[in-house]
Amino acid sequence: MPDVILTAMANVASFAFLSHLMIGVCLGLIVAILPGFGGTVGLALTLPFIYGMDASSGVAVLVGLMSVVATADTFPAVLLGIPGSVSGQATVVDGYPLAKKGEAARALGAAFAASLMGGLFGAAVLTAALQIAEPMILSFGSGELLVLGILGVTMVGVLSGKNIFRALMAAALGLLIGSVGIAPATGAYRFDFDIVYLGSGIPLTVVVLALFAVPEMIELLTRRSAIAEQRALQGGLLRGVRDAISNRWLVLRSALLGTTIGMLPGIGGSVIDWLAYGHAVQSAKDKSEFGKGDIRGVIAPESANNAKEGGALIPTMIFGIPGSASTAVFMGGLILLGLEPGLTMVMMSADVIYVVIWGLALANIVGAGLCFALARPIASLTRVPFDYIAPVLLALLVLAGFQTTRTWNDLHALLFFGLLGWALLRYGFSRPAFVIGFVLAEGIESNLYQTIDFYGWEVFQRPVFLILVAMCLISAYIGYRQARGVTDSGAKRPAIDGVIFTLLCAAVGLAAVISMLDKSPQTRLFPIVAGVALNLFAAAVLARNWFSTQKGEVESYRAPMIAMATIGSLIISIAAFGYVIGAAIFSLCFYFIRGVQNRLVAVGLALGLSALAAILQSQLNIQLPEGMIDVTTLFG
Amino acid sequence: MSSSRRDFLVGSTALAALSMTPQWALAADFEGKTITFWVPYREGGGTDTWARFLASWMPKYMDGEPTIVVRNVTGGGAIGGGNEFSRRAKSDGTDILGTAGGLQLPFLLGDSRVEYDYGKWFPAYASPFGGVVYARTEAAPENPADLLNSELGFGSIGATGSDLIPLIAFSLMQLNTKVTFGLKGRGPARLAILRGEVDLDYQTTSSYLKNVQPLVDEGKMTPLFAWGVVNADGEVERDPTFPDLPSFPEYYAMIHGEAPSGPGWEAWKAVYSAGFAYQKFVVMPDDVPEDIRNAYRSAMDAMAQDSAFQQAAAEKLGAYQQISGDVVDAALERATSMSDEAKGWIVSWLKDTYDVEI
Repeated sequence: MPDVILTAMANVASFAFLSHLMIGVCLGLIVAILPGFGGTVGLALTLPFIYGMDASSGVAVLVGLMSVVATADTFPAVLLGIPGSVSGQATVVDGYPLAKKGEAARALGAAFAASLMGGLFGAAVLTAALQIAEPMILSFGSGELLVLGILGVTMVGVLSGKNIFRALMAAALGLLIGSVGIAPATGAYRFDFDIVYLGSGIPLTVVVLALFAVPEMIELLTRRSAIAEQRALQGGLLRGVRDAISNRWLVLRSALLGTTIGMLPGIGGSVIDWLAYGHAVQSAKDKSEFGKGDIRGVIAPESANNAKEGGALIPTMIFGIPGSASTAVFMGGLILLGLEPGLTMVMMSADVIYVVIWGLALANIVGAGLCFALARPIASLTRVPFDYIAPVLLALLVLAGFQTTRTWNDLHALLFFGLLGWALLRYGFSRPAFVIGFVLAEGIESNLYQTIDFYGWEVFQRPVFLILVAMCLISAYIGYRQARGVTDSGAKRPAIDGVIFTLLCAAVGLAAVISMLDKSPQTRLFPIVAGVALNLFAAAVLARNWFSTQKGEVESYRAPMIAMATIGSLIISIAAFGYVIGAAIFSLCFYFIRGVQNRLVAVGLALGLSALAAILQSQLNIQLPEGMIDVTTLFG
Repeated sequence: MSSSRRDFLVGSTALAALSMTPQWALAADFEGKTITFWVPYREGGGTDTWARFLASWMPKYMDGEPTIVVRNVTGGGAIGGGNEFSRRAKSDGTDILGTAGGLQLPFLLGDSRVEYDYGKWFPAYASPFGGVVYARTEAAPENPADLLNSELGFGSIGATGSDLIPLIAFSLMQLNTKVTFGLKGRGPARLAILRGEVDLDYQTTSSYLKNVQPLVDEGKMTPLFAWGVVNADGEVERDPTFPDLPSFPEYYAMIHGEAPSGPGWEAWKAVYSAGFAYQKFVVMPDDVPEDIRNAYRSAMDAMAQDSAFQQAAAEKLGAYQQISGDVVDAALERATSMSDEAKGWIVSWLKDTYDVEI
């Protein structure tokens, strides 16, 4: 074994490896900073290039990219309130409020430091765990995965703050919409309305992007100022680092969480940062600042999602079964390079595994360093008046959403879930709760039936299962205590429009239940439970509203409607003219209508956007949405 | 108008007309072209890896060495990507599609979601695959006939996809299998058998060689049979990658004393041809100009004959004879046609056994 490690070391220290690692890191940085492009999109971009590279260099590029994305996707999360990738969601909850308070640099500093520590921890665990990973992964069967999913759902209580019933309702809605597609136990189609796109379930990427990004954009479009509400960008990078260090035990625990759960294929990498966040809240003595800018709410998920990358590599390398979506693409890249992850690799070419581990560690260090260096310039972008960057951001969002399946349905989903996300935000429903329900729906349902089939009641004899059940109960109890201990004075109560929305959701739940009644038992059980829960919680929400003393005001709809129309017009423009021309036309109209002062910069930005898009398509093979008039054919 | 001027006009018009003819009408030269290789599966998966492997080799054998880029289009699973291709692919030879069982089987079974039509596609190339059925050694039988006495757990993705091949096979053999649906893929199924949650599993050849063979060598898993390959006469022979393993019809005979026959067997062969034996095709719309279609076919034929390619392919894709040249037509024909009798058998079998309707 030792000489394998030494061979690996020599390899990693070579110039070729390091330079390719840098390429991967830089590419990953660029991609991750653009909202919505992190994760699998970036990795997939490299696939055409690495084919034909020698194995070692190709691995360096892949590892470099994969590890830095988890660090750099903090930029859009903190600065814009938009997750850079699916695994950056939890960072938004406290990171963005910190940016709005003018403490963006502090949030970034803490995030990078936590990411670095978490990533190194993940690499270390990966090294140590290689020996015992196999039995560990195998001891987590369907029963354990089921309870892990339920544990995720109990975190909703933690995230709900004062509006426990609204959060639970959002989670139930998420569970219901998560069951759209094929019922795992029977293969029957549910709620697909005969639309092919819905047949395999709504893709997660576009849902998360739409849910968080679109409402943010609407908010920013209506406010018409810069993102940072306070002028001063307080130099807080180092302060953030100190915060991370003083919370090092939280960092460690989150990293442990990220690595262990990352090791289990199929649990959904996106839940990990919520679990870490939830843990941070549950283990904190003073919970009052969470959601408003508690630095621990940034540190925990950032550490976990870097550590997760190391964890997810374990089943990938040992079994050839990818632990997450990005490791699936990573594995594809390895195969293209002629490397075959799996038992054969463990036995014959273990040095490759160590190269990957150390590449991961190195890339984390280099990536964090680069992020620190770039934090100031990138953070200062938030002081630019929003009107200038708005069309660029919107266009990038549309492009990122389109990369989900590269069909126009992605953009329809973007609009729909964007609208839903806005409504959830406005009426006080927790979007994280919705996402948790949505993500975990499939896992919980399929693992439920598998547990019944494979184990039956014997599952209660499995020690790990029992431990996890205990953890669930504890977590649920903490959430319950938290909700009970809250007085009503600070809660925002929905006004009549919130009531209407609640009733609408309840109606959807009822319709879902009724439509399932004639289906087979295993097809209908899960959505019926979700629909019934949705109605129960909706009733609770309405009851609370009925009995409250303070009535909420209906806020004006005019500004958000205009903002939504703006976003809609971008889509229409693209649908008509294709992306390159459509985005340019939209940008120019936008700048004109908003009365932007600096005409030169505006035109430059609009044209620059089109040029960028054209380059992305021709050089990096990023697919652009096609319009009715395919203008690009004019250029051959 | 003077005759010389008229001649000039006629001549220049003719010249102008000629210069506007697409260059390809003169010779199938791919110089400067970018070809989009559509893959209706996600990046990193089996079909995607196969497509990228081919895309890296093909340009060398095509006049003008075009650039080939892979476009992954999913959305509704493979069917969504197939529909999108049939809607949007250009007929000038710059769009080609990689298909697999996930596209062929729904077409074969008449799935209402399918908008594409294999009858309108021209095949340039096909890569066959095989697979192996194996069991946990603890659950493996001493003799094949013993299988009938025990209940065996099997994890499946769903009843209407590629898993039809093992499901129909187990049914024909009259095995007592407890099938659990909802697994996310053959990878998770492999994990399930490693955990001891199921007793039976099958894997494609490349995955079996990579991941299961080491376990077989350790004694933890026992192979039962390989599906086999379909020969030119439509009969199932032993898989050349596994010369020591019986083929499915052989194994059937070992249990029941005679070879399988009847509409169920015909249905299995049809589904197997679509899902495995001719699993992945490279196709394009059939209204692509003839010389371009032929250029593709001969280029990929030349590629398949090249020993350097064969060696690389053997490592990546398995030791199967790649199907190139004009025989691809017959292969596609077989992969996408099923007698009404066989289809009827499958539809009622699905309803009776799993209460699934297509």
